Amino acid sequence: MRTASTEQLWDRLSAEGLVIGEKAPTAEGHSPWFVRVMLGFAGWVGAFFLFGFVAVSLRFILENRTASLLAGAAACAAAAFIFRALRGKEFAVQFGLAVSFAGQGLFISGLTDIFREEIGLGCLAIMVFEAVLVAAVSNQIHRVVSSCASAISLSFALSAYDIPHLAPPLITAGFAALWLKELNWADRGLLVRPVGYGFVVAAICVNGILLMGEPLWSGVFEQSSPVFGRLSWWSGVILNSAVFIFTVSRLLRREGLGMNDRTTQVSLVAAVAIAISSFKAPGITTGLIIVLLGYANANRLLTGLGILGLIGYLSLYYYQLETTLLVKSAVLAATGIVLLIARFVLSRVWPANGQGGDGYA
Amino acid sequence: MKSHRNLILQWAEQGHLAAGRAEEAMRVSGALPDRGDWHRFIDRLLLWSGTVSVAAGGIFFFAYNWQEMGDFARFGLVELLIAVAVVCCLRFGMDNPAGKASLLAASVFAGALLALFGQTYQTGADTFDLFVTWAVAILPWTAVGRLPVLWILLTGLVNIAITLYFHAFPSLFGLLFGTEEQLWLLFGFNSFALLLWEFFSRHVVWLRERWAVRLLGLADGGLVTALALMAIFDDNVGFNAAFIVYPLWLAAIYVSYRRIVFDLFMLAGAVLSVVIVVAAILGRVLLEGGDSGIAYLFIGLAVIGLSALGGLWLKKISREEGR
Repeated sequence: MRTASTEQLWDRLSAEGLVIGEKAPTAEGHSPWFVRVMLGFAGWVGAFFLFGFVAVSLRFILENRTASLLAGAAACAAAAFIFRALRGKEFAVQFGLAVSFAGQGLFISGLTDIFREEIGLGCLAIMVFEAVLVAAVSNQIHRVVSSCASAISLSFALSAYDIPHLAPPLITAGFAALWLKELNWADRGLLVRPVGYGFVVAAICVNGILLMGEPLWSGVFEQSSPVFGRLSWWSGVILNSAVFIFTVSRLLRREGLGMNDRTTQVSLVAAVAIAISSFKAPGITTGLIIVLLGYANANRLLTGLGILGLIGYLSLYYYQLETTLLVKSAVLAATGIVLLIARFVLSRVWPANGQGGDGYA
Repeated sequence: MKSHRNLILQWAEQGHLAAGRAEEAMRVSGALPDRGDWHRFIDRLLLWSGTVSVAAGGIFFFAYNWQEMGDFARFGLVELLIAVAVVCCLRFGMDNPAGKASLLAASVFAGALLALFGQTYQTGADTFDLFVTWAVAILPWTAVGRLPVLWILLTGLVNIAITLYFHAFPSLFGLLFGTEEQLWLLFGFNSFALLLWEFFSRHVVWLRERWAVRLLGLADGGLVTALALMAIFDDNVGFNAAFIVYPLWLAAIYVSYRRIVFDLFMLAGAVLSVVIVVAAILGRVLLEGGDSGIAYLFIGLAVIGLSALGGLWLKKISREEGR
């Protein structure tokens, strides 16, 4: 597929010495994100039935941890081979997805059996396993799912070690670094982008799960001492705020605004105020980070995920049991007022005609 | 602004872009936002996130039912919030984003006022009454607001009211209403809303927000798929309307979004629905007599084959439309 617009773009970039070659290469027809999500979901459904086949016909595999590990690893290796050898073949790719998901189920069941007494170690082992799959399996849907699974396993591991609140900022720091560097690492986009999406989805899920409290977290909170719990919570909030402020400052720098610029100073003060006002609801800053990164990279899907994350977080926040509705209402009202004041102040220092900075880089 | 993003990233991955110059290429092509774009975006982001936070804070506050605060003060506060929001809306005007955001806040606070009324006077009304009254109360604002998110709020309120109605009245005139009847009514309402939205969006520019149509489509598809699954796993042998309605729904989606308005999102949703329904039919037929490994394998392979076929078809029509 080569359109007039493609040719024009190529010529324009060629004139600037930004492209290599005489003519625009033929573009590969990539499916939109929702088609890939649909295929990924269908892959899960297929994997469920393949897993059922193993559970019924090859029951001995599930009953023996070594057999589970070996069969799971073999299935994942077979999937990796299918993705490399038969790239672009729809049936093969869909088969590879289902085989890999079923294989992961087998491998993880073997791992959980080994680490039955050590939940934290077991979760870390799953995290490493999924990370290896991210590197080894060259399929984008697979990479999104494995990165997400890896990050969620990390959050379960931290929960097992009584520091659950560190997981969201660590995952957020991970995806913020990836999306801030997306264009610098554009030649490795097939690895960077799926991992970035996987971490974003994981951060949204983990923030939501944390709001819902203990039962989903293997009950490990019950063992935690109140002092340790508070320490975990404050570290998480501070780290999350730091990631938010860092992201805002990096985006300002990317747009050519230095520290002496009034827009930069007001933006950073606004970011600090937003972080402070929403410290009881850290998912708000996570959502804002996703929205900002999405817009900065002209990625509408990422922006949409951030908005979805914000709405989802607010909906779940209502049901959080640790804080009363009165405190939660005060947090939300304060955050809202800070956001509206920030808008008012920014409109004064950075008027609509855009002459508030030192010039656009 | 964003149309060239994917192309440039693809060229970078293929090695056609000068090393480390993707950002520069994006800027030259106009794919990345400029200062003006950033200004508009930050302005809208702060406005909408601020408004939604304040409105949600208001709802949380009145849900808390703070006894230390007297009835007079509570009614005064919520009415003041509505008045401020309406005044801001009038002051900024409906064409200004701040005016639209104020109207959304006023609509949310109207619900808080109704909830407070029920909370204070214990009217004995059912919960669904609150949502029906809320929907009716904000209808005039929704009608003049020219704001898709307000229509989605209204649709959401009606959906909640229908769900709560069935909780309050599980039977009527001796007829027992179950989950299936509730899903049928929700499906009917959402289909009607989708139809109206698509019809009017051909004439009304501000209704052409695809996210809103897709949200309605998602709800509609989810409901009809759930009805089809219930019919498949229903133990009562006999006629079930879902066996007629489901294929008709598929045909309507195909005609509407392949032939009239091309929307790959809706078609992808329909493909996923077909995969799930076919897997359920095969599961019902092949696994009825007990667990059979071969049956699981067959269903798994059928799901893989069907979804791959669906993916191929979506890719093909996407390419055709892109030409």
